[in-house]
Amino acid sequence: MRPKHILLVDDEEDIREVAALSLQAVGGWRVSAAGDGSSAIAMARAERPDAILLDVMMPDLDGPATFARLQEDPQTSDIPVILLTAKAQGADRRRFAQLGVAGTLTKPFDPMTLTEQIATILGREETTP
Amino acid sequence: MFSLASFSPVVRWSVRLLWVAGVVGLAVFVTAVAGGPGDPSSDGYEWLFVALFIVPGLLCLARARLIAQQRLPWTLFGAGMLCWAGAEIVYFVVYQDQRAAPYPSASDALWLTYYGLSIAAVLALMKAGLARFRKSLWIDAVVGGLAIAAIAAALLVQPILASTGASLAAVTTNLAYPLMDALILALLIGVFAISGGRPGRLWTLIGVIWLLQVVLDTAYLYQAAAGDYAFGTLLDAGWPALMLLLTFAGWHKPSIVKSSRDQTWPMLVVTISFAIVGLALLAYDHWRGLNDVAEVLAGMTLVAAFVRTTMTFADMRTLANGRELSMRHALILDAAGEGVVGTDARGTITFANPAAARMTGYEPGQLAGRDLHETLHHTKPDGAPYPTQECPMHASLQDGTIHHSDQDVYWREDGTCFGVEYTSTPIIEGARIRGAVVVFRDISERRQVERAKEEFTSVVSHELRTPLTSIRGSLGLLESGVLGPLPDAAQRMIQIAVQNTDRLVRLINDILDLERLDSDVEHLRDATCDAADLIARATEAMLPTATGAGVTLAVDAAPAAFEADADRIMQTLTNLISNAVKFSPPGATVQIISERRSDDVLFSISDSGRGIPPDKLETIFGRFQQVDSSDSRQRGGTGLGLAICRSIVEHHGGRIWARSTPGEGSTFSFVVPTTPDAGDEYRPRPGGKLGSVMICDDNEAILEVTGTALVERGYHVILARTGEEAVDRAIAEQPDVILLDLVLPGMSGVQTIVALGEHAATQKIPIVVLSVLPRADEEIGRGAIVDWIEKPAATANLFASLERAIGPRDDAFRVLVVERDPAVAEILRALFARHGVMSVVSTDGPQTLELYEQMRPDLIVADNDLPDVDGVEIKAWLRLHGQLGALPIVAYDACDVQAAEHDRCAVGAVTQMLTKGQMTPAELHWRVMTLLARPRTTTPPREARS
Repeated sequence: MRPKHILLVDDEEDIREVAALSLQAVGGWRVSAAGDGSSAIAMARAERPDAILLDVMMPDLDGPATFARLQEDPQTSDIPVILLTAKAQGADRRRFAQLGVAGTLTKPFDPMTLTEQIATILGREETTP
Repeated sequence: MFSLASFSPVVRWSVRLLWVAGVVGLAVFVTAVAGGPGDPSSDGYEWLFVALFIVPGLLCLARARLIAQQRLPWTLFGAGMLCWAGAEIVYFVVYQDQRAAPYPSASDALWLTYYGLSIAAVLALMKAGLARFRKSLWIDAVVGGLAIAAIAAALLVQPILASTGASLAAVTTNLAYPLMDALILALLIGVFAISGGRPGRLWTLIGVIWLLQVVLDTAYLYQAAAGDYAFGTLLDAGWPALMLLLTFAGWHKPSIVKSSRDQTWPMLVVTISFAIVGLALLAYDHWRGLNDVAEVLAGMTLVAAFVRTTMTFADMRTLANGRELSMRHALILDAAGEGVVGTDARGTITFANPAAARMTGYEPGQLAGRDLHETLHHTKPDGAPYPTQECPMHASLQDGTIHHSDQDVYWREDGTCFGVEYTSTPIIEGARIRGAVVVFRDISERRQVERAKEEFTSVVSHELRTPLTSIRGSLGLLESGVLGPLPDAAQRMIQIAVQNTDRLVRLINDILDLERLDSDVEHLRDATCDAADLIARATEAMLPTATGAGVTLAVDAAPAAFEADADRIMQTLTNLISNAVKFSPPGATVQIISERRSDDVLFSISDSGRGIPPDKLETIFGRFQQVDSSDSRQRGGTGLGLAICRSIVEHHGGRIWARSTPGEGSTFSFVVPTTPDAGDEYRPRPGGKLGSVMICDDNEAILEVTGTALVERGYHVILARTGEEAVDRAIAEQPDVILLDLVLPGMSGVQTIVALGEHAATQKIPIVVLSVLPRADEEIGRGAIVDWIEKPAATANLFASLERAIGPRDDAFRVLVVERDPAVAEILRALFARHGVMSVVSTDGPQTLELYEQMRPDLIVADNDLPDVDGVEIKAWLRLHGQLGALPIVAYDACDVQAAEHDRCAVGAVTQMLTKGQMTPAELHWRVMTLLARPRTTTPPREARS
């Protein structure tokens, strides 16, 4: 599946800007951006994006907590979520994988391959029953 | 006083009646003899007098019969009193005139029997009632007895000699009484001294009684010797009164007399007092003259006192040495910063040093006597109860090995807890586990530091990466040209910025990685890995890089299983391969090799690069150490790769090193230890469930093969290579059976059998001869030889012979495995054997039922897929035969259990229903062990699983 519309959630404005530019310019996708977990949930309900790229460490509602809220809501529970984390350790990755997210990407990311990586994860997601 | 309430009314009233009879009888007798000898009112009271000995005698016997404590002494006292009664009867009936009695008379014999029994009774009381019954008490009694007898002789011998005409029999008989009295009195003085002057009520009462008895006996001897004695005075009332008093003492509840802390000084004072008595008597003899008997006794008293004093001083020196040594040990333990706790075999604390008390918040001395696990370790860090079976300290007491943990907490007296690191070491004496020593330290501070470091690492990781993400992203977009073309110079600058950003990211990753490895934050996840598989995966990952550099990867990997964190070993391999590729010229080949060795797996990565100078071979594994400082820029390394590799390998208990010929290439090698295999099981360890077997053979191969087979089977194995060693170790370790070769160097097998037979500790140990010599049937049954097996022996024969020799072991768990596939059966048998569980394999239904009859297993593990019978049917059969008690059955199936099967299981036939494909042998084993761990008498709850 190649998503047409992706919701980008990160509290760091610079990263939002760079990632959005990368996804739009390289992938040609439509990108919505949210700066915190709560507005991400609201936007996910309202816009129903094809996928959500979610930062892990955010003030108030962090990535895993936001993901849990999204899963609880039947309106958003079917939207695949990819975590974006600055924590690159094996233990953290294993913990995130257990949450049930579609995949995890680490920061810093290469803007030229970011869309490809997301597409790969979502494609894998689709083929797994 | 002991209560009679628990006895039947008949017993109660009989005892009370005897007491009343004794007291009333004594009162009547006293009234009758008050007038003095020859008083007509006392005539005919001889038989009342006799009865006054029979009544307390019967009461003593009743006491011994009714009350479990101290039966022997009171039986002896009772029998003694009846002897006295017998002596009086003989005296009244046979020797109506005392002067007509010969020396020694039948009465004398019975009286002296009374004294003998009384001495035995006092000794028995001492043995039962003294916390420490010392052999030196005998010497003390001899010294005291001699001294008292010397005094008695000085006072009595003269009149006795005068009255009896100095016949030897008369003197001996008459002197025997004071000697006996003296001996008993001396024993009681010993008890008094040992208890430090506080012997308790029972001993005080007995002491007073005996003192009075000595007075009475002396008075009697005086009167008798002077010819003044006649039956029927108040003196005669004294003895029965004392008997009643002694009986009364017997109904007192005895308390254990604690030895006073230091028995040396009181005993020394008593001994020296006796020596002074002896000296005084000899001095008196010198000036005024004494009889010969008193002289000899006084001399002997002096000699005995001298011997005793010498012994005391020797004791004191030993004690002082021991005290100094133990004081030094105590000082060491007191000064130790770590908590040190000793337990007995059941896990009860017997000792705790001040640090242990301080850390746990208990008063020093408050910990002793408590259960270690229940007191300090009862709850897990997450608040869940910590079962004793899971406790590593408890495990030390069970398996006799050292256990260590730094994941647990100890609980203080006030209910708070602290992180603890402890090592529990069993105390093994001979083949028995006597207890354990647990050394622990409070690591809550260390954990706090670790947590802080982990937090810091996590924050740094996030805080550094966040700006880097923006930088890298912006630069990447600029570099790619998607935002529009850049001038060439600008493009080049952006390129440099991207490369260095990437380098910075790698550096941060490596620093954090190394930090985490070194601080143990991330624990290695051990799993069984295969060397060849890891190399294949690492090579595959590195192939694009190698291809890009024009380098060929040549792999020669041998499969080898070992326990390791696969991701981390992969990381090491890719790192080393990446280095090798980086430093290889295009067209070169990098060799990747793995090799299974005896205790480890060796990995080697060789390149044909520029090589490493000898002085750098070691330093390159340090942080930021590269052969050439320009490498990090040119080759893109961080200078931390090899440091990470070393840290990973060392965390696995392995080693990493480099060899190089400058100009020709380098080889990086590392080893990771393999899982300890059967070789480790071979160590003699206590607790082989089937019993312990000593194998004595000079052939190493036989020791190893037979030893391994027996350990696998569940025996504890002791190895001896010579006859001498066999005898020594058999005495020390007391095996249940000895497997003995006859042809041995030095002491031969036959000589060994003789030597074993001569020693009391080994003569009962059965011997099975295992020899190349042909079986000699006539030898079987001679001495301890119970069987003779010819080498080479079939293991089945050997096992059968050992089982016959040792006999059935009630404490060994027996599992009957019903399995058609020999491979699966073998795996199960090996798993059980490792835990000392005996298992027997049956391949079909009829054999199962037959074996069940023979071995009465504690558990049946059955394959459900047998052609003629399955687990459900076995259970049905057992129920039919009334055998269905607590016996759990584990039935497992090759395919998923069908619904119909489920229903059958639910009827109550099978305890656990397992499916083969969905379970590893380890899991099956675990489930089976859980079942075995249950009490054998309760019916396990039903549980079905498909």
